[in-house]
Amino acid sequence: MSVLELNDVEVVYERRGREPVPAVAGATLTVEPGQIVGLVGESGCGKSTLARAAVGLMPARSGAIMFEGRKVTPLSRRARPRELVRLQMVFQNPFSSLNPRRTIGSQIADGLVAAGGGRRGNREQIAQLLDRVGLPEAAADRYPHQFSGGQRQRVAIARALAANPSVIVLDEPLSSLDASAQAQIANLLTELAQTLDLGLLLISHDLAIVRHTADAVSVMYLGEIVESGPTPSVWNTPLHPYTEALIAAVPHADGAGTLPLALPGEVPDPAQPPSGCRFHPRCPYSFDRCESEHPSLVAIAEDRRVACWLHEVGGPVVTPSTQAAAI
Amino acid sequence: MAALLTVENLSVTLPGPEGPLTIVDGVSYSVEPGTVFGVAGESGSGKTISALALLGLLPLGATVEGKAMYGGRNLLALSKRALRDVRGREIAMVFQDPLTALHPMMSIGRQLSEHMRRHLGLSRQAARRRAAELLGDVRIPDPTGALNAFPHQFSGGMRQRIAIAMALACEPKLLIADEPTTALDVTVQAGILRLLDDLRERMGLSVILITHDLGVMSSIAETISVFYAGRVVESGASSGVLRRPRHPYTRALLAALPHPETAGTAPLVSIPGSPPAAGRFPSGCSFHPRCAYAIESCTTDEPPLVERDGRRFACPVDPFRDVA
Repeated sequence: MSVLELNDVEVVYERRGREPVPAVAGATLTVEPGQIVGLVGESGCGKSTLARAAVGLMPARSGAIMFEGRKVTPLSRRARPRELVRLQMVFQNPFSSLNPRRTIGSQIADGLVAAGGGRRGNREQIAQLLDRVGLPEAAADRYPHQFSGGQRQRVAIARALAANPSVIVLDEPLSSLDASAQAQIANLLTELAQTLDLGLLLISHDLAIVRHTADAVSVMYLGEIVESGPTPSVWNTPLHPYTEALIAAVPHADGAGTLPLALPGEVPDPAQPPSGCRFHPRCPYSFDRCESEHPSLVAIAEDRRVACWLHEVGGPVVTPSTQAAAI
Repeated sequence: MAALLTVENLSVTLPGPEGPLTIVDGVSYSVEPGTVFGVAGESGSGKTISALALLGLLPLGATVEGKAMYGGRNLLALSKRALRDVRGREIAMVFQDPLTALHPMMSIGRQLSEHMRRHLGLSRQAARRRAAELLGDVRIPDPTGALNAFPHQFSGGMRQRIAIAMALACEPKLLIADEPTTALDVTVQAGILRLLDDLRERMGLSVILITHDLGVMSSIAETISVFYAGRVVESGASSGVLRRPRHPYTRALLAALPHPETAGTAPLVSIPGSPPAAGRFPSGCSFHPRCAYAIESCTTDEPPLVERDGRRFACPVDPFRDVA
């Protein structure tokens, strides 16, 4: 059974006197225990909004968000139900997600208290958590400013782990870090997922890191998931033209001097999405049907889902360029 | 061909709370006309400060040593007034964050024409016409309409294009681009890289591209220098440096990148520790505390940048001399 399940989730930002913005327009994805699911897409596609909705920081307009078989209720003024404490989040910027005036140890203790297990100041448990993320026990008595960005992100992860989670949602956890720290944290995440049987939802715009770390990947465009599947399979044979374009845009440090391919156009305004397939104005393969009819996310082969009129259920798993040439 | 810019032994010292900090320590490089020269390195390695020094844009109290020869003149010895004529006219700069580089309350047209009127002495109307042309050059849709718009009305990629248009307004020979695509999505990044490459080819523009992203470097730079702790540790043709790095730091940086072949199977090879804070560099070879190949002399002797097999690198141990 999936430990986190998002079914046709819609999140809408209301604006006074202006039309509302549907930032997430019907997204479906699941996270299994021990699985790292990558969520990729350009800025403004709604991936951070979806992450916030997944943990209850944003109310969903419609659809269902289930964690361990229970409905995730949006955060209110009351205390969060105890059952939801095992659903944790790590934010992008460890400079603002940690309190600068409190010691690392006391901030990790917050997680222990939230889970109901620990007393404040349980040194042994704190030392174990610090060790788990590769920091010395002595770190507990220090303050956030005494650590580098990568070390702070480790602290934020330790705090999330303190609540004994089964799922952690991570919103761009690597993007504010240097190359060497990025590799260290990416390795830590892989190890935690494996040893603790943790489900991780990893939101990132860095495709190379997602490719390396995630078991499965979902690609988001303008509030919708346009493709999902096992990472190696999606990377080798992207089905959606947008996925194909994203992969082609990644530059490689191979010394070959090849310029990456640019995707023309801009991400449209989510308040006024294009008709039919939302990607059609930027799609090199679009045809009549794409302008008028909206494709839904369907499984065309086992584990491979795509929302694109080029493909049909039971059809071949081939890239959009191959498929377009064949039609 | 003669180099457009030759930097020799550039050092920059900034005042710190506990005495002066050396941020850039004896850096030399040259930029050929019509090429992209890449400066790679992690944060705090001095790559931005060394570029700002060329334009006299350092914070108050900074001291600069060395030479930067451009068109027969030493940029580092120019008067403030003379430097003002170089800045924007001969050498222009594009910054990482296009939102802070553009004035939020000033129309795009006014921001674009201001320095053309000053440097080129154009009339208001001529400057406006030229501004619209420039926006067309960097592929902003409806350039004339865009002149009356404000920065917040554009996306991040568009703003960076506008910032590049602004930098190119007076037809500089050299563009310094400091992490120009770091804040952008990959799809938009690809567009900006292609734009820079196109400008280089069409207008013979030279570019100093500062970035920590070796993928970006590989796609556009002809030659690169790798900075670590204020010094150049390796430099040469980017194809050679990225394919067969000779300095342990360059090799470690490349190894830390996710590689398609190892995806999902092996952990990333991270560099132990973290880069030293700017100005607080270890003795000897600054990389020795993190280097797997360090020998005793590395902790005390500062390794010189020497040329071997057509490459310049600062590592007397040279552990990768036979690695293909």
